[in-house]
Amino acid sequence: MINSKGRLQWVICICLLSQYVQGQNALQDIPEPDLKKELASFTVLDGFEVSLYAATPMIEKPTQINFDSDGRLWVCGSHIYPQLNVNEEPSDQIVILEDSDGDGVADKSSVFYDKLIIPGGVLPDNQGGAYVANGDKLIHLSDTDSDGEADKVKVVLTGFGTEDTHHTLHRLGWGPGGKMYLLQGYYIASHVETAYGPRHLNGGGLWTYDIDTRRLEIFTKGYINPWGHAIDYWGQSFESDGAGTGFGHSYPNAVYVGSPGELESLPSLTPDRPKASGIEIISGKHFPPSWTGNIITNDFRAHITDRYSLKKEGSSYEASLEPTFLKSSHTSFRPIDVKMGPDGALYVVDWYSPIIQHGEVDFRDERRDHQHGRIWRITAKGRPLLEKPNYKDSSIPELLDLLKADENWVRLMAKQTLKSRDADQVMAAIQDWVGNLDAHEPDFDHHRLEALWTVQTINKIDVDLLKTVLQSKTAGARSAAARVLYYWNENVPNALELLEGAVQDPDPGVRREAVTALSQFSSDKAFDIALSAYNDHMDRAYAFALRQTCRILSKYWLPSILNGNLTPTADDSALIFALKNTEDPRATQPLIEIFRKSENPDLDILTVIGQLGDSEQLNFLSNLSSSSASPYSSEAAKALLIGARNRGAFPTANKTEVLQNLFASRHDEDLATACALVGYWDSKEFIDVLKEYLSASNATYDIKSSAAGSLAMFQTEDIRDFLIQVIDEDPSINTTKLAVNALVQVDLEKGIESIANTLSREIDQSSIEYLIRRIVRKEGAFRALTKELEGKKIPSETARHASRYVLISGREGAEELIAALSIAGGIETNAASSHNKMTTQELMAKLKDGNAEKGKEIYQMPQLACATCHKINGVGLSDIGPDLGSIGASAPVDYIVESLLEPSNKIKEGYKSSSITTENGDFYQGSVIFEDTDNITIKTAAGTEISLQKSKIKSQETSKVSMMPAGLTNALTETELIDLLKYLTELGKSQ
Amino acid sequence: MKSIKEVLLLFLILGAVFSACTSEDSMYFDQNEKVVFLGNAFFENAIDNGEIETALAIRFPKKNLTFRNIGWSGDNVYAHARTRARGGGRFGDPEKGFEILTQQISDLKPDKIFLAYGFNESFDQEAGVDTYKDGLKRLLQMLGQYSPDLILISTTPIEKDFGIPEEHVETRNRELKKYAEATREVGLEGNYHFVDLYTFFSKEIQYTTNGIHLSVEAYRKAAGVIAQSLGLPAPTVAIDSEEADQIRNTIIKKNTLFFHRWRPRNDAFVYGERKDEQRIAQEEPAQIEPFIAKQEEAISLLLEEL
Repeated sequence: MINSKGRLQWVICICLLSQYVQGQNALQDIPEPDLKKELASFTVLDGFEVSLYAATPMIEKPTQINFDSDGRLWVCGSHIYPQLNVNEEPSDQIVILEDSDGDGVADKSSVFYDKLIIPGGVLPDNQGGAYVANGDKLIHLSDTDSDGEADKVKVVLTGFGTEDTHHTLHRLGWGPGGKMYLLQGYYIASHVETAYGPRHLNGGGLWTYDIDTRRLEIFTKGYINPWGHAIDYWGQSFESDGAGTGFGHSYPNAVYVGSPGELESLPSLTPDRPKASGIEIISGKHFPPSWTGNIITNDFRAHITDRYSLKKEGSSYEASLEPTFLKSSHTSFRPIDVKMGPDGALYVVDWYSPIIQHGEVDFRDERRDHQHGRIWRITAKGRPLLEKPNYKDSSIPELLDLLKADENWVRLMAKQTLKSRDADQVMAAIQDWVGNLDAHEPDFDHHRLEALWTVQTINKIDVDLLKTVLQSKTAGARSAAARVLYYWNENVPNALELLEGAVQDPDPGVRREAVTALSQFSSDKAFDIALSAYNDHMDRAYAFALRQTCRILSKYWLPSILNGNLTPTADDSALIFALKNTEDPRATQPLIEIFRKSENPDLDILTVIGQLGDSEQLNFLSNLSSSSASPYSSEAAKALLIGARNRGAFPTANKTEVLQNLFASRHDEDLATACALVGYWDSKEFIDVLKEYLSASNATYDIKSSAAGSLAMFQTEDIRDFLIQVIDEDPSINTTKLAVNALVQVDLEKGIESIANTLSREIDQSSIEYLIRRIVRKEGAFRALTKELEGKKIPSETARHASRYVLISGREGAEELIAALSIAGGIETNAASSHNKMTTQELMAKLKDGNAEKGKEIYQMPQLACATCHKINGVGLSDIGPDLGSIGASAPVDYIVESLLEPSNKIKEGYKSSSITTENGDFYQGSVIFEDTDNITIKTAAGTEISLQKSKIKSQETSKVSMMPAGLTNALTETELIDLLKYLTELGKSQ
Repeated sequence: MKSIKEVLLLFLILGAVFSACTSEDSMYFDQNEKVVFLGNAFFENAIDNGEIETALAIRFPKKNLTFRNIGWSGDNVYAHARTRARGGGRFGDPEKGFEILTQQISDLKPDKIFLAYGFNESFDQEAGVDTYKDGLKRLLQMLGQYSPDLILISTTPIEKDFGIPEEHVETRNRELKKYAEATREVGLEGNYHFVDLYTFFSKEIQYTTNGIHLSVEAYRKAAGVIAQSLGLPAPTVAIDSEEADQIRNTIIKKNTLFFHRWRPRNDAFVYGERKDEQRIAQEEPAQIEPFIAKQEEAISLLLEEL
């Protein structure tokens, strides 16, 4: 053990000498790891104070902390992060800290175990041992000879993915019902074998593990960097995300952003907030009463610990940001975990590093700090600290009385301690304790709920107690009881009757839990009850819960519906909701039946048929659309277009009749649909009609656009000649540009020639953009246009605008094309800017002279187009690029410089783009936002979403090129560039 | 040019060798053979205890055998768990796992492959038995193209008293037995070696760490069953001797290094979508090779001394 107080400063001096002197030459602003300076850098809200609880060498770089029932603090740490060295022995540690004299400063530190590789979480078992998240394994460490060191290692679970060490298994915690909660992040693919079947999870997610029955289940899926998890007074979960969504409300079956293969996800409660790491919920008497239930989370990029208040909203919550709680001006202060301690104070874990990026900065970058870590303690001034109960020596009834405590952790530790007592005695004592509760006590409902959670914690079942809690006056207790039913499910006799009542609860939160609990039953009846909870004003969380239950149970009810064995009690609109949400092609036929018999049918059904139906079912649409007498002719045609465009699925009957009917209707919308269908259906007999509409002076733009698109699909000489003729006649710029685009598809050479000709005329900016954007997607088009422009003259304004769109494309050959445009436009090419030759180091050296305010103006210059793709703290036009809100606080200066000058060298996690070339030579670049077996949807740099059929894709690869074009800053002067850099490097530092 | 006589002689010798290698007889290990352990967590967990590998090594101390354990938790005969983000993808298509495995086997060119599958597939119950058998046959066919000797290891039963409800243990064991039987049938049909661990462990107690995965002691017993079933010679030293311990510890060291070599942490940066972000991440796994070679040498030396 180390008695640190004397040695601490001495050790820090050594570190400073040995490590930081070398690091200085690369980065100017690495601060000294001086504890006093860091402490002085804090600004904490009035009424609170910060002090140091522990620091290196008492701890390693901390990744998670958890207190045990003896009040000792277990710290999980890693100096190995981000990557084990070649042939390096695992040596990361679990350390136990104690504050034996109760002065708020740790005075004892002992290494419990030191053979780990980048552990992400530690959870004491409150019996002297602990669970540890160690990469691919969840292990249990115990100290059988009580010498304070682990001597027995048991592998509990194995098969967690390790694809990205800042996402591996982490953040362990106990839930109120005794389950363990574990998190994993994006890029992780886990395959864990359990007695109940293999559990596979790709991407982020929250797991629950029952240590008694060894059951591992997925609780929620998604979030890019799910980092923290906290559970409130009524047992509701909140997860924080370190990738720009702040935190959200979690419940079983929920899915959040970034879960592979999921079509829908729920938003967080703070969608535009920056990265949030650890999360805690305030409880207990030490903090001001108004703070109880508030969420505390860290913005580790901006060196801030934030507070949010929560308000119930429908079946979920609404969060409001409160004044900043704690903030530091110290570059290395990285608050990453936060926990309430046994004395009622709040403990903030400081990873301490100037560099926080996992992949963007080299694993072996010497500026990464591998040594320091701190735990800070925040107390409320003038408010007494709390005495820790002596759980170990308390009797069962005394422990049960602790369930009335205000402090969430006291009640949790009491239940954890009860778990180690004789279960039958505890069950008997619970009966007495509940029997003696005073129903008039204000927290009566919560006390009874705690008794129910205790039963759950000791792995017993008490149906009577469950029933009484389900009847509580307080909605929070009823919803928690419904959650218990989620876990006990078919082990409770007549459980479905109980849930039948709960789905009609006046509180939407209870109904959401009841609907979720029904997903754990295996019968049509469970589905029928869930469906009765459908209504037409469901909020998002509630509708999602019902969607998930319908999907999970569809293996039971869908066959029953199909073979006529189930007629739901709920009305058709509920059944339509269920059928639509299965996304199962088998659901199409029942939807058709419902449509047929409805007097006022739900037209969304037609869309679903278009999305899922087979050719026979598409015939239902073509039948509806082939008669002018049908009132649904237009909608059915649009659904047919969805089938054709998204899946290449066609009806077998009535195609000609559909087109005839639509063309005869003379409605603009129908005409546009018909023109588009001609191409997809390959209905050659209508080519002349398409030609007419493209050249007709009175047709709308949409009609012409569809006609041109379809014409381009018939790659014939006749059509090529027709298009050339249209372009020559030039009826209007809109028609011409559509014809040019079609010609590019049919005959690239001729198409490019006509683009060059069109550019030489006086045309408006949007037409220039249209023409350039069309060829951006064509392989070889830039080269061809460059050649075509030789010796041509175009207006200088056209040259300037066109150059801009070429530049933004970031495509190969852009530079040459811009040069050709400039010559043709008679404008001077940008002389190589003086800063082009400057190194990153030189730019960094000049940064001190930069003016951030002027830099902000430069950032907003339209020709730089920064704001076209980036937001700053949620404000901006689109989220194609990362939010730059705290880039200055999170990234080293050299990273920012390089990102700006050579975007492709530093591509932020989650912003990699895919380059896709289709069979007909179209080229797309964008980030993949959805992918299933048949389709892929990408979001391009222009912000548009494009859905492509996989069968039409020739090649797809992750682009090594950033979606951010290189050379954006070429037009800036050196001073302007330095001002812009100054602005970016200041972002997030002073809010 | 060799004379016809010589060629004929060669055929005769080869024929004798082949006939000695059928599944009826004891298994033969040639000099410098490479052995691969492939399967689910049964083999992945064996990386950390080296019991089966040690048991084989000390039976053939002079043969200079090398072993590669590529077990993967949660894997099945379709190699779904082996899917990794490749060529810049984020998550691989499960169907790509088989391709990745095929590539790996063709690179390793093993002489013998021990396979342990069936646990994860058994959750598909009776209805999945035929699919499992088909999948196993496809796998064996692929492996057979690169490796002449394939040895099938059966599932092991789940153990009571680990908090898993008793009725669940019973249902599971009925299924696991079915899948052990299915493995045996495939072995018989294709004339592959088959080792029945199911029957052996159904008579044992306290053989798992968690109800489903074998303890270190159980791995030692399983190694004995495997050796006996394949008719291997007696070990040159006792499995619980100091010499065997030393060999085992070196094997575990080698196994751990090999694990970091082929399943490095931060895989997304070595092979996956984040591949272009880190140069060092991609270089380092290959730098482990000499350290593996060093441990291999140490193992050979220890074995030679026996």
